[in-house]
Amino acid sequence: MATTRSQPTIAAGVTRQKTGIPLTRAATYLLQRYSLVLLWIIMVVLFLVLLPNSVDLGNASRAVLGQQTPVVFLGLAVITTIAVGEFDLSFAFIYGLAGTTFPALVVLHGWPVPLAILVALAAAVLVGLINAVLVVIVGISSIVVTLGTGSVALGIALLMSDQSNVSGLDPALAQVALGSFLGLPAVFWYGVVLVIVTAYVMTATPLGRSMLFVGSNPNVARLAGIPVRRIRFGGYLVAALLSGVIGIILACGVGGFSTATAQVQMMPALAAVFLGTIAVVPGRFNAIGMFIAAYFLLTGMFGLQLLGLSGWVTNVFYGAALIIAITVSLLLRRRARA
Amino acid sequence: MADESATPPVPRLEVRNLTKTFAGVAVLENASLTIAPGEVHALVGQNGSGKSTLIKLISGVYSADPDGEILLDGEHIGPPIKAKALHGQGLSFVHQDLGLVPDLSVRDNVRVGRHAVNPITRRIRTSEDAVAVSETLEYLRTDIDPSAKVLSLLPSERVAVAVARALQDRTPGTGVVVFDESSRAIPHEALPAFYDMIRLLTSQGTAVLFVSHNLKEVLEIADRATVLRNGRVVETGIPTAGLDEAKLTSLVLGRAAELGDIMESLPPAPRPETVEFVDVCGGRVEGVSAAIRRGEVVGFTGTVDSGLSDLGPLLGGDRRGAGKVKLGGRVVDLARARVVDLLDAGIAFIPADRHDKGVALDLTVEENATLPHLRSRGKPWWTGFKWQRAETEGIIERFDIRPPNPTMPVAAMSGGNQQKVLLGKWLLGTPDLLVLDDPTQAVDVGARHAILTASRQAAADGSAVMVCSAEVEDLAAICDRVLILQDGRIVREMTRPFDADAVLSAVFAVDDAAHALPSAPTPANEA
Repeated sequence: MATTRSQPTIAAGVTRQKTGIPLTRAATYLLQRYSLVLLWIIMVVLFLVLLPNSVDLGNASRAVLGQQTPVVFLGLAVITTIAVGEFDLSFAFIYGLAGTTFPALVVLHGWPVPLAILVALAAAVLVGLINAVLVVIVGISSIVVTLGTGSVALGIALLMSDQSNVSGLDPALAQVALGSFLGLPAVFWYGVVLVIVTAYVMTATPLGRSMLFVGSNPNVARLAGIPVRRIRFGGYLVAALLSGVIGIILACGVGGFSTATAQVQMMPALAAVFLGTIAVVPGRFNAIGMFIAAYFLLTGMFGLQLLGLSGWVTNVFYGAALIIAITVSLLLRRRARA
Repeated sequence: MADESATPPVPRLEVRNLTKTFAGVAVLENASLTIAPGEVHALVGQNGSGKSTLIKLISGVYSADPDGEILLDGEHIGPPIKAKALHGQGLSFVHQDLGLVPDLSVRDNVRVGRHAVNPITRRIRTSEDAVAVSETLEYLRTDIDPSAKVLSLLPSERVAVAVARALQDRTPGTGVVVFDESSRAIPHEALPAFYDMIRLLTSQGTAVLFVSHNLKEVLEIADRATVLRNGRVVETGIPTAGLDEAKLTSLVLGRAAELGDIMESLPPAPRPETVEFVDVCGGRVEGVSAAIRRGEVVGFTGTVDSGLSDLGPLLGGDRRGAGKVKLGGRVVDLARARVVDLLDAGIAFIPADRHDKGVALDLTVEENATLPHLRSRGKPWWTGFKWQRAETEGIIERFDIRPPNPTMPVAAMSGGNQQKVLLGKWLLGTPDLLVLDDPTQAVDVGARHAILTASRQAAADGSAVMVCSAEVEDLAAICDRVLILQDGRIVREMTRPFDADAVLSAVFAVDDAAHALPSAPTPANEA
């Protein structure tokens, strides 16, 4: 009797799996990977309903996607470190350092543009190098080191800008950031290209696989002959370079830089990275997920601003988003292991 | 049949028709068992047989499907089981790692969660605690000082502390104690004391449910056994008196798996080329020189302090040392070689610490299995995907990895299957030298057989295979020669024919002679 009663249980399980193909399974697959996109659409609809004046969807989306924002670049910087098991908090300050150094040298000290760019990038990479040496070689906790170097970088940036906003770069340079393609500014497209490159490197090359193992279990990586230290080291350098580059690009676009606002970018970038782990490759830090999450968050912020909220709401929104994103991504990873 | 005629009035623990389904798939079906007062009842089965699921259902970690029933001394206690109430109801657990905090006193370890407290200030009444603990320890016939720290205790005394915790606030001779793979945390020399303690408990009327991978142990200690296979009970309450290891193994596996068969099916076929170690040193290894022929399996064994646990890591690049390895016309200098150089020379090292060094648990079977081959099979700008899937599926088939899902995170698999992934990862390319460090640690009987066969197969395929292990039966089952280490050097070589007892007594003899001690330490299989 026992066996007859148990038979349907298994049979039911098996048939459900088999007949579930392909529609349900495809739907589950899409839902698992792109639930964030669905959430995005829901959010947009919500805003459309809530907003008193009818908003032109085309204009609104151009306003969101066309923002002069460093979040995508900074998100990539976070991914290159966090994917190899490091936690770099200095990225926003490095961004500020490079973004300030470049216009400060040109405007305040009369340096030629190419040289100023080189020096600004070198400064950014130098901070990354210090991070890498202290964390990877000396072996200090990465959070402590990068908080410290970040603070130093910000201080130096403030010193160089005489503690005020630098402005007055040649308006012709603005094309670097603002030059339009398909109605969207160059900054957006740089982000797209870099996201694709990063996603490719991380999923389809041996380097990406090595990064994955260094981040997941450095001992296993080491015993498989992966140069663990070099990869961790490289993570810090690439992160610093990405942060520096976007600082310079945005300085070009605006014609100057407001140093004090640089650290504001820390929260949205971190939130985008963690929120990105629920999309595309669930449970893993991935560039495309981060990209979707970044614009999801920017849309949310934009909508809140249209509703008349500003100032305090930025902190609350990104802070809450970061915590929710980390919680969800942790739960997802725990479920993947169970 | 024998047990039916001797049916006791009320079983201490009775499990009726417990079923657990996850997402429509039954992982345990209609499991039933009864444990009489004073009985040691063993629960055996491979990883994935539903054994741990059953324990988790009884302990309230999972909740069983509603139609089953769990009775304690005839009283219905679930499902659903209330985990917090279990101890009070008479069911307590001693887990794998014994669950002791080394830094705390015996008293605190025993009383944790059940401290006697002042009702108002909630201050712990240490004197009352101490009395209760002393009573329990006395009952267990040990003279451990309740205020001693656990880390100062001998292994056998630690076991007593864990058991004392399980017996707290319990009338002597009542209740059920579940030992969930507890003997794994106990070194060989402390096992007899552990078994004595179990017999002491049952002689008073307490029932014991004993979960173990070690079938020998089960036959020694248990009165009856319940065998699970593929989520079903294949035998319940079968008296162990009528069983031997072979019969029990075939019940567990559903087929016979004699370790002795491995040598027969894969007989020695040594080839002329050799791999040579010259004066390998590092850690406790003081200078090991040996030669292993391709096609040969050579075992290394010895006591805990013989340097055995350092030898594998030295050759695998997991520990810095000195010395040379000569293979295939190349000479690798261990003092200077990077891990990559060792890999390029054709050395594959399978570390003892599977979770920390063997596999990345968060990553998939495919990612883990193909990692060592990415450099040779992939291009710097493109790993390629087809060969990865093909190789992974090959490994899954060859080692019978379950479930056969290349994209599953390794963390979701059982220990034996994780070990198979680890083996597959390194055996794929037929290494020149395969170094296995304690390969059968914490795996079930089926996986053990698969792992040992795979090691022998690697030799047949042309690798020189080196097995570092304190499990003399494993060595006897697959090795052509066994080298015995002592104080970091090889002191004796044994050549076939030999059996496990011969190897074990050789280890003892060597140690006895060296230290001139009446009782030599046994080779504990600590990682």
